[in-house]
Amino acid sequence: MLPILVVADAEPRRRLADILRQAGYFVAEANSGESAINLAYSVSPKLILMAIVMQDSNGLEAAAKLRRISDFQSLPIILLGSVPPIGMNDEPLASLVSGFLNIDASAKELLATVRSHLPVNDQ
Amino acid sequence: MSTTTEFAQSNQLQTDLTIDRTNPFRILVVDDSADLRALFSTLLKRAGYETMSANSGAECLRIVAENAVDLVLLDVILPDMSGMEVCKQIKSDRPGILVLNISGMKTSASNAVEGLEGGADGYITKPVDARTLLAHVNALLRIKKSEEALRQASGHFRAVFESTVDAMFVVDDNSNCVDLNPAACALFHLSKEEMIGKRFLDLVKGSLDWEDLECDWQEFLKQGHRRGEFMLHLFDGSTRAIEYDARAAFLTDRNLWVLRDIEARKRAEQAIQEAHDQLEVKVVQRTAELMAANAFLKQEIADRKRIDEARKEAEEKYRGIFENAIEGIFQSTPDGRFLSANPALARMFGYDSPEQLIKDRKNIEREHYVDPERRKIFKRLVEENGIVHGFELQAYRKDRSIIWTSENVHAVRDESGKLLYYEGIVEDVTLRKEVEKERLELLRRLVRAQEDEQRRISRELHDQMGQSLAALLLGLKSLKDSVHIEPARGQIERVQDITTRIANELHSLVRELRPTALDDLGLYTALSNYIDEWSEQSNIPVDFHSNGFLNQRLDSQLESTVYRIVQEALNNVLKHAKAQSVSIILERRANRVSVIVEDDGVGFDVEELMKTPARNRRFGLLGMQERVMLVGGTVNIESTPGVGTTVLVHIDTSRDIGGRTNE
Repeated sequence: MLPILVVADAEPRRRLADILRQAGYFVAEANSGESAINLAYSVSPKLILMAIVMQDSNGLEAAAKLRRISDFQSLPIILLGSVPPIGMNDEPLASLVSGFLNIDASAKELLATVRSHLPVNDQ
Repeated sequence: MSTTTEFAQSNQLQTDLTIDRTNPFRILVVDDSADLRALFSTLLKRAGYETMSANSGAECLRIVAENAVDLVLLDVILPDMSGMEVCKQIKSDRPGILVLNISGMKTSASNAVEGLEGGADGYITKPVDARTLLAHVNALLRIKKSEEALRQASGHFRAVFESTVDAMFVVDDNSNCVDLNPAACALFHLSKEEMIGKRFLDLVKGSLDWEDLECDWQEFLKQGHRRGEFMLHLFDGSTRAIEYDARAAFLTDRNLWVLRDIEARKRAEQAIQEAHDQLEVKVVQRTAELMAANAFLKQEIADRKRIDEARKEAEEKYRGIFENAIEGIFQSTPDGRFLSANPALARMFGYDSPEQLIKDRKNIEREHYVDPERRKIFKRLVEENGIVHGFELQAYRKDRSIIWTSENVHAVRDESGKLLYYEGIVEDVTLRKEVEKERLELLRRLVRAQEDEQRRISRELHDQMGQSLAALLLGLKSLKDSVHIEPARGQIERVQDITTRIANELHSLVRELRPTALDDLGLYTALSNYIDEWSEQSNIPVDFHSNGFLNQRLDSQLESTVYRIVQEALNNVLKHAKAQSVSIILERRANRVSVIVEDDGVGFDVEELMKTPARNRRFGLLGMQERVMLVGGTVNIESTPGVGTTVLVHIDTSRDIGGRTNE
């Protein structure tokens, strides 16, 4: 089973990962853009939840790096933040990320968003 | 009357008495003397009072019972009752009514005291002067008015006290609860009865944050005021935030504590603080996100700028190459139009500018290629390999003259693999072609001259020397027959042997030079003979198969080429291969002649060999190739060290040998 990769600082990450695990998903966690890329290589996730801001890295830059790797060109990436970044629907962000989710989102919102971005046969 | 004057003077006193009272005080004058009743009544009326009068104790009590009377001016000596009795009765029936006794001039002090003990509020003695009377009446009524006001005020206070939402405690100096309001009960969840008499300090013990309750209490009583906040711990364990305002000695031995429940306010404040904090966190978070997005975009813009600059630079470089190249550079569509061309290409085809060339050539296949079939081959090669190198074709120039070009072309496709256009470099190789053609022509002439010379020598050797040798042999034979001296016969036989050997060698030599059999009997027979002899001499078995050669003659140049190739190949086998067996296949099919010579010898590395300079090569590979090339054929040599060598020759016989070109 391919995992969902949650990339964020410890506090929001654990909460989101726990909700996903309780919902039956296989979850991998990373605390920086760099470790996310390394992890993505080894686990090939089917979806990535990526915080815009992390202590040690910039989620948008990490997403851009992932996009440049051919294996991850069509991997859904959902941004986590407090407000959708300005220009989310325009280039260069539009091709970078598949969606946005409030980092404090409820379990219900989180699961609905995740479900809507997974391939149909993977839900 | 002196008294009247005095009364008149006292008018000024009335004013402050009637103020603020809707109804004037009503005074009942009780005296058995009608004159005095009238006098007092007049006096009091002029002072602003209402008056009534009674002439006896009984009438007095009746009037008091039936009317609202504020003050009774009572003559203590009445015909029916004693003034003290009347006073007692009034005070017992209507305690609010003031009684002012008027005693006789000789009234003893004991009488006055008796009157007071009966409940009278004051007394004056006869003779009564107006000033004294009014002063006393006014004084008493002023007190009554004050009391009334006080009672009214106290009623107001009570109403406020009972209905306010703040908990209020009236406590004595010892902090015992004397009074408290419903809000206090509600706050403490205790009834009034449960709290009255209890010490207020006990109720707030453990909650009020005073250092030492008793000491601070005394301090509070001295200071008179304290306010602050504390957390009230209730008996059920719950807590409420409280703001208090305490005033000491608002009355003697009475202190007021007002406790306000500020729990809700505290919560609201906390909620506001939390909201504020959260907002601040959100702002911090949002700011961080904005900064992250900005950093990313900056990076992205920088990247794009860099890529853009690199692209521009590359474009400029390409443009420079494109414009200045000696080779022609083009892009063309699969349906045969030029998309772009550089000046060199235009010049190559006789145009003044690339635009002219592009405009003029709308169909490359028909207008550009001399042989449209070549275009089809080109397309197929690009389709199969994606790229072609050194593809040669003849093309028309603007003036319809023909040039040879060599193209390196690759296909440019979109992401779906759809062919968009061809892109390539063109070189004019006409000159090279001509030189090449000339060289081949010379070579051909050389080969022909050589063949002719060999044939002539071979003929001569065969015809003349062969004949001479045959004659010599015949002569020797008859000589031997005619000589009977034994030693001479032996000599003759040795000469015969030598002569035979010479004849054989001559035969071999002739065959090597130019087998007469090839000219006389054809390729198949000549080759058969040669292979048989070679096999016999080398002691290597040869498996020879041929197909399509019986009674069929080929062009003589072609026949001698094939013959020479087989000859050369067998020479190589003998010299280098150390083979156990050789297989030769000669085949003619339609317009194609194939020769395959295969051995099971030591083999060699073809590529390695081809790299070594021609003069160092072990055998006549180059000779083989040139000869085959002259007749428009190809040579392939496949060899694996330790396994053997195969020489494959294919010759297209449909072409005119004289005009054959290398392609």
